[in-house]
Amino acid sequence: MLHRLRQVPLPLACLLGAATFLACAWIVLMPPLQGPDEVSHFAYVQRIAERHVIPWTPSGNGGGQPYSTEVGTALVQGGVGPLSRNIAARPLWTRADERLWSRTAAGADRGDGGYTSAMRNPPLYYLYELVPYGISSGGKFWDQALLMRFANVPLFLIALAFIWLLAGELLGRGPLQYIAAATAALIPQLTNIVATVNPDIALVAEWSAALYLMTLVMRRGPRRGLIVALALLLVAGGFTQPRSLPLVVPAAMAALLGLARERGWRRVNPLTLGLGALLIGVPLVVALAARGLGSVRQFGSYIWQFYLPKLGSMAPTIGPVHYDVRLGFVDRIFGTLAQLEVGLPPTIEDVAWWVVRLGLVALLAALVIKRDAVRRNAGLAVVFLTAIWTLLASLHLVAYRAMLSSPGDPIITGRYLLPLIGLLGLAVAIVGSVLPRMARAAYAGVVLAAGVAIQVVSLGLLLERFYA
Amino acid sequence: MRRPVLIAIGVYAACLVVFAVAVGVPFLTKKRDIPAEVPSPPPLVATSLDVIRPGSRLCMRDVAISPQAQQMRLGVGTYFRPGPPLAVTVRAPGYTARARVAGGYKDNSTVTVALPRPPSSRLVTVCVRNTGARKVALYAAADTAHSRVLVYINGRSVTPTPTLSFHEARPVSLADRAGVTAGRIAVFRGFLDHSWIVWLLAALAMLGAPILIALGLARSEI
Repeated sequence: MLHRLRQVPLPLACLLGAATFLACAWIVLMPPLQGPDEVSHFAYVQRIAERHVIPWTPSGNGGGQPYSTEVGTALVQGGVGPLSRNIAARPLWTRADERLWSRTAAGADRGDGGYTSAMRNPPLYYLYELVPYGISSGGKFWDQALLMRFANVPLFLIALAFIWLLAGELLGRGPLQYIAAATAALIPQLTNIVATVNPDIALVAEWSAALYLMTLVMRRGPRRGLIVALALLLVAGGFTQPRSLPLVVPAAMAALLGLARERGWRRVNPLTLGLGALLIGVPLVVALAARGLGSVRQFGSYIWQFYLPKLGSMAPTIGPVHYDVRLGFVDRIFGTLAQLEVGLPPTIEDVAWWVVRLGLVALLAALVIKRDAVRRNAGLAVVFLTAIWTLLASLHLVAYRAMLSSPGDPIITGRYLLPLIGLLGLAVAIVGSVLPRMARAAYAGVVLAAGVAIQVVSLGLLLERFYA
Repeated sequence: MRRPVLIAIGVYAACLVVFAVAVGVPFLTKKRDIPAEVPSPPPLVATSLDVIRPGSRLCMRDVAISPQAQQMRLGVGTYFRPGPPLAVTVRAPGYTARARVAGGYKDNSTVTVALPRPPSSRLVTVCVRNTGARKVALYAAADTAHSRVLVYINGRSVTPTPTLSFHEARPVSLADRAGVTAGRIAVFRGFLDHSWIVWLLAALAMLGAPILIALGLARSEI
């Protein structure tokens, strides 16, 4: 074991150490149950643990509370409920509060309560969280809430390790590999999710591993071990969150391309498969969007206005008018922490928006400069592009269908893109790869300093929100 | 150390020093109105009212107060007229405070009551008696911001919990209250319920993580 640990490259060990420190700080600083939908996810784990039943078909609340008496006591007597999304509220932070909670929480029922929205999710992540829940079941409610958050740290580190491997496979060992993994590690929304009992962090780990395995399948051929591992990841993703289902498309594409290369099937190439996926996928998404109350025109207009300015001939978008790619993705990947109420200062949001747009231009320029390498890796490029568009298409489809009945809630949000965070890291590293050696060194320094700075700013914002 | 490594580490360190000086120090030293405790926050979506008629008394039980508290604040509505005088008492075993709020305060204002510091955190009962001739309403929450505080008007239980917070006498900075803040973060943290753990984690995140990232950068074969 120790021998294997010694084989971990020092830069990766340093990065994993730094990521662990930051994650632990987030976990302790953010008051319990203040992450996105965290109380719902906690209740799911508690339901399985206390009733020994997986709520496969959740329905109704039986006229009672959605949560157990124990969770209800934490919400009311522990002050967690009034704190939720209320920026004028602060956590109850005196020992007198704690003593009062202790008296009222003694013997509170853990097994009662109805159903919460999270119980529509598949159970894999919640089964994993049973381990910390069980270990701390003899302790207080807060022990469980905290230990369940800490159980996310290994998933975070697994995700980073696979991003490291992916970057190493594509860009070679060295600073670019380090930049790719560190960029992912320092994204504030990712650490926000690590500090929350929420299956999104499991999805990030599964997708990061799957992207690496797809790369191996493409480069080394569809060996049985790789295909089995990839298939297991797809199943795990499906049993973690339905949002993982689009991963099947790029994974199948990678397997087919790997097989085609090995067996010399010329007709199965990146171009035909990429176009094939588009020709089947796009009409399918459009047809699903147009069912019932939906319309192709409205769906198209919604997608257009999410990414581009509204054209004169277009009707206003179905959802909130100002909820576009900047608000929904960029602002929410770099900010909108806790339960969305902790945003970055407007100046930093503006800077982030400019950096993202300039970064996209820089990435395109880098890919043009590296066109020979892109051509050599055309299969992988198509697989990664397919992973991106299929995830986006499925998110927009689900959001559109939901907005047909409830247009006030845009549904789609930046953290749903976190499974692709490895590709973001790769993109940042690819931009650095076209720079001369000295400029690349400076670029690495700037990128990592910006990452650390935005982590510190985010922790400061949480401190200000809850304790100042 | 080779030149690219020096450049990378130099740029990284310089950026972080500039950030610390330009952002970190002002953030920590900025004077703020940091609450001493917010036992009962304002409503989130809909404002409710607890109306105190002339001669009536509203009491709030299980209100936690901290040793930093030197002021109590209540949100009030006076129906477009000057507010009536109020008699305020704050009681707990070993702690009593009495104060009078003169009439004439504005509608939709925050009434501030000076308090002696309690020696330690404790649960108090806060009572507000309307000693004037006109009714006054305390702004309150019956939505998700409804707090655990028990509220009674003339002994009868009511649901909305009045917006009530305790504050220090003067604005303070996070640097001034670093120790107190670490202690506050440690509350309701289960097995990590110690302020030294909060300090340790703060040091690891603010110093350890940046140093490890720099070390990783230096050793990544630039």
